[in-house]
Amino acid sequence: MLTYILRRVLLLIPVMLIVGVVVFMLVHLTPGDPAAVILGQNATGEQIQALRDRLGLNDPLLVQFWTWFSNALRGDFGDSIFLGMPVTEALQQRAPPTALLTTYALIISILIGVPAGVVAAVKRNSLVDRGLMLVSISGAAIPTFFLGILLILIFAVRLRWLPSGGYTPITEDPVKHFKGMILPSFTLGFASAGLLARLVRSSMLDVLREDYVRTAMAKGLVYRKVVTRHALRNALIPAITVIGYSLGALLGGAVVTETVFTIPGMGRLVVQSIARRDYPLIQGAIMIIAAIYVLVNLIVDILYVYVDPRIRYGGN
Amino acid sequence: MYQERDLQRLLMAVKDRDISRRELVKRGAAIGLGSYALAGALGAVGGPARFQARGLAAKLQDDPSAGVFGGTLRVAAIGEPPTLDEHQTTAGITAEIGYNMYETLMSYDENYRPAPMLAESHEVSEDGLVHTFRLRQGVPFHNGEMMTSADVKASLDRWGQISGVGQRIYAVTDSVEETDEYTVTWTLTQPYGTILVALSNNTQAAVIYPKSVIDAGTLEPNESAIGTGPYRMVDRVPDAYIRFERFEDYAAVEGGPVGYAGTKYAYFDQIEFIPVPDISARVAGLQAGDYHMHNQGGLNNDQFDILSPLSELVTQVENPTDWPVFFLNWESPLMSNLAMREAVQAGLDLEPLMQSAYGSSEFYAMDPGLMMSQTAWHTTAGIERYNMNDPELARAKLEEAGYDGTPIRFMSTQEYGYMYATSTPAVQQLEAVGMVFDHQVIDWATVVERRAQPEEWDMFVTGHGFVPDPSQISYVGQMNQYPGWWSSEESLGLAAELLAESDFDTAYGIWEQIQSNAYTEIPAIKIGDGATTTSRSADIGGWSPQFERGFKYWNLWLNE
Amino acid sequence: MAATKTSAIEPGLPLAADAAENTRLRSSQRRWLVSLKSNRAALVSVVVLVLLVSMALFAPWIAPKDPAFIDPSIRLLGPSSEYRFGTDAFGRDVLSRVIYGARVSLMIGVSVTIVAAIIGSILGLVSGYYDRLDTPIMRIMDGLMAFPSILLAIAIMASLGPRTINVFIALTVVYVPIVARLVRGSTLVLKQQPHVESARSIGLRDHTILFRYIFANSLSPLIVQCTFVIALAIISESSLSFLGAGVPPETPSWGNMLRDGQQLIQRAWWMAIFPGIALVATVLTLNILGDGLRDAFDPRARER
Repeated sequence: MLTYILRRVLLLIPVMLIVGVVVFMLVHLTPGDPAAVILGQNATGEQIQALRDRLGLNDPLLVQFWTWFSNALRGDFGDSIFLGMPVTEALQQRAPPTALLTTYALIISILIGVPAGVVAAVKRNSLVDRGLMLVSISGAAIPTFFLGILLILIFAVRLRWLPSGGYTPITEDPVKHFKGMILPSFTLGFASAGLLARLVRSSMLDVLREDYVRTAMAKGLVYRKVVTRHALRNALIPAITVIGYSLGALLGGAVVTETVFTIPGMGRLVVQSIARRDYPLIQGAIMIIAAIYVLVNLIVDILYVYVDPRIRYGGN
Repeated sequence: MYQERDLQRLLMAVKDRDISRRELVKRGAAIGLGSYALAGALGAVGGPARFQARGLAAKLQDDPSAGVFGGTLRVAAIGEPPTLDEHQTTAGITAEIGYNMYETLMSYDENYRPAPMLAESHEVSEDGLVHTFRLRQGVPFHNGEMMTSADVKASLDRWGQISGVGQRIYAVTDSVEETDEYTVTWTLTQPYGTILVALSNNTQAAVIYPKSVIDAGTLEPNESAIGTGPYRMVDRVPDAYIRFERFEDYAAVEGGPVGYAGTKYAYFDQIEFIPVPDISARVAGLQAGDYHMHNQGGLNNDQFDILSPLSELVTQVENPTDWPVFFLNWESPLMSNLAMREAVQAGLDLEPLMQSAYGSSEFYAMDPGLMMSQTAWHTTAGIERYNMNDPELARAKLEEAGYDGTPIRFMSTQEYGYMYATSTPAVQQLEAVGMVFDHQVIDWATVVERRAQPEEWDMFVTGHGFVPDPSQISYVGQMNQYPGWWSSEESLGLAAELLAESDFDTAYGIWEQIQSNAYTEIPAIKIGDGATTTSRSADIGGWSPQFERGFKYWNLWLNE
Repeated sequence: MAATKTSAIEPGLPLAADAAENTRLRSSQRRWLVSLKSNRAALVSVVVLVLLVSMALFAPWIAPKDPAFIDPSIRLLGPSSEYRFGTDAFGRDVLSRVIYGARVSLMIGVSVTIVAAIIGSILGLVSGYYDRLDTPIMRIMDGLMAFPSILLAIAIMASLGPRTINVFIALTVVYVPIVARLVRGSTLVLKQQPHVESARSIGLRDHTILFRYIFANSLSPLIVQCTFVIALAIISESSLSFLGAGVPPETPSWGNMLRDGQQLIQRAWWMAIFPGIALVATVLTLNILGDGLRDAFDPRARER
């Protein structure tokens, strides 16, 4: 087990190196430049060149890469060109909204997905089952931004129950914070809820056919007890993987959700930084998001091996 | 006429107590009346005594000295300012946000003439070469230091080094000297007629920073934002908010408000600018009451019908502030040919372009003037070549130019909606007369980078904001340096004359000739004047109808 | 098992890994058609898809107007008998643009999937079959998969520029690793199979083994996966357009129409709702079809 974990951790190094090279290449191949963005509509060519010099953008690419990457290894991603603060500080500022948003979305997807999956499995092939499955499959079919727009239109503009966007830190005003996060979390969590519901349903069906469940039923235990006590627990094991991977997908989905609901999180920061050509920030943010993504996957894999000893670990 | 009739009706309604004060202000605003006009008119017919007894008359008059202190104003901003260093950027959002905390030696009055702000007075020598600025005394910066001529000199020198206009003035500057603690003497090598206009301007403004801050070098990384203005910045989380607080020690000019200069009252306890780049989110936020207002350019005219029925908002059409314009590249093989430029000029039907960018006809004006009609500089010189819509002529000119179907590279962007909205129908119109287009819709950063490279493009669309002086039009003031590189000998000579001339009538004659040349030499094609729609909470008092250079946030207050 | 379980990663790609296990069961080859026919939802989705595809193919004959024709004097008209889905901010006919939009969305969805399937399969086969190549290839795939896919696509679009071909390239890069991982998983399982080992022992060439024995047997999970990839690619295309990094804005794609419509949704709901419905319907039918195919290929699932 320990060697398995160690091996997986070591494998992360080349992955992050590749991420770094790809990000750096993409960013520096992009036309447009941060100096032009900062100087505004009527800046002259000389002003732009002067600012480029000061920002070190006229150095050879290899030099820039080396400077950046060696510093990045030490956890120093440089200063954001546009925001005028260290990249790590900017990311720290933006991490809480994204972390909370994904957490809430995950909670919502579990709260909706698991019961829906169980009900669908228990009432297999009934109308309820079909209805639930249609809704859950629709979850993956509605683009996040379209769902977000519809929800804003209904709940913020027409009914005025919830704010249309924006973000209040939880420390500032918890009630306002939660009110503001309801629509975005639901928007983001809906697709994962559908996926989870379908997965729970199918693994539940598998478990319900297993011998020990049949035995329990034969022993005269109440059906509901069998379902909740025996079947659900085992059916949730595969769900852990999906929950883990959902977290990764949610991180990606947060990019769009944050844009729709104007939440100042990491995803929106990256999108805006691309438009602003804020090279250090794009590079740093993507490196960190990728690292989180990879780590979450690793933890999920380990957890999976841990809870389900049937899985062979230690290699292919 | 129309306004007067409506005003009469409104005033009758107030007398009969059919509508409330708040309604009056709202409806008055809706028919385009400033609060001043309303107050004056109401005084003339004599407001009912009870009305005044309740103490509402003072507020009704929107007397800027009689506002209500307190409250936090929440403003939905169109985006995050790229920097808070005014010397650096020409970005309008920096100018508007910066107005709250920075001040300049001179500022515009209500007719866009330079008026003293941090300067107490200004004198110029007979030969126009020596400008003497007497500074106001006892003006504190937000960091507690008092402003002296040392701060002014340090700021002007920095501005002269990094801003576009500053560089041009410093090119003809002999010296800027601190004559004494409160006097600065600026000596030029040749007359520069528009120096005061340049110092009054608010984009890439010559704002006065404390010398200590300039010396510390903290302006560029945006670590300090310290000025003398009525509000001071207390907190900034990029892309989340910029928060201002009333500057309690603010040294106000006496004598009442004068346009962008004069007395400034800081009524709000706090002002928050919240960047909401997405227009539908801004509109939804205004509807939901999440914001009191938006900043300049924050609304699209298509949103007018959604917001105008709401009683808690005042939504109105204001003066034109922007004009979309297509630049033609004089250094590209295609567009260096005059006949080719004439073909583009003749082939365009401009009104549909304005319709697609601004909506129905109440939101735009077809006007050939490069200086807007609300300025004294306005002229229709060259009108016969404006909005030609002559496809036959265009085809003939194409023939004359020997156009071989090479795709015309036309850069546009969606980041500013009206740019894409004008370039797209233009492409269709010009393709109908036989041109071939490579319509490149890219992001703004790329447009700005590419337009500086003559070999990269043939046309690009941009917008020009309202300017009070023709020298501030990008392709007049910077003529052969601005992308497009308008470089006719005659026009360059005229532009130099215009910059040096300080007599208005002579300068106006020169300006008419330049505008006329702009239509025959065709460095760029003006499309039309676009009006601005504004929408704000009906609780806001003190709204000023003058906003072309950005909304003012001082002298505004919240009634509730 | 340890190898294959990591392949179902994104929402919309459910349980493809389960299907991979069943590649062993060669015998089920023809039965899936029968099974699919008995799945009513899947049948309906096939019909809808055929309609969508013909809409895309015959757009010039079906569309009542020129989808690109601009006439600002009739902008933002609501649905009427002349303009059934109304007009947009340029006065273009929304119905015609929705019809042409099917072309863009399906073309991108299908072409991305085909190319990603080909490249991904080759990488997956090679990586699963040759131990030496496994690590380098899979590490690169892991690296690409470590990006949230939408961010990777945006970054690629920003550096390549807004052209339709670039959307295709960006999305292909995003989806190749998913296919590669799936095929590698099947390959790892299949190469231990007795019939593959015997094929090797009688000296058959590698490429024969790879294609005849291994690839042919991993086809069914691949096909299932591909249906989901088409759906995902269509959604990603629209998300890219929404974020302003998609196909050129004048192109009538559903994503572009949703972006334009979103800004005016309160003023002109028809601009966003109709392309939105078209998009959701397409992705939904693809997902239902994918589910149906998976159940059909997977005898265990069929019992349910």
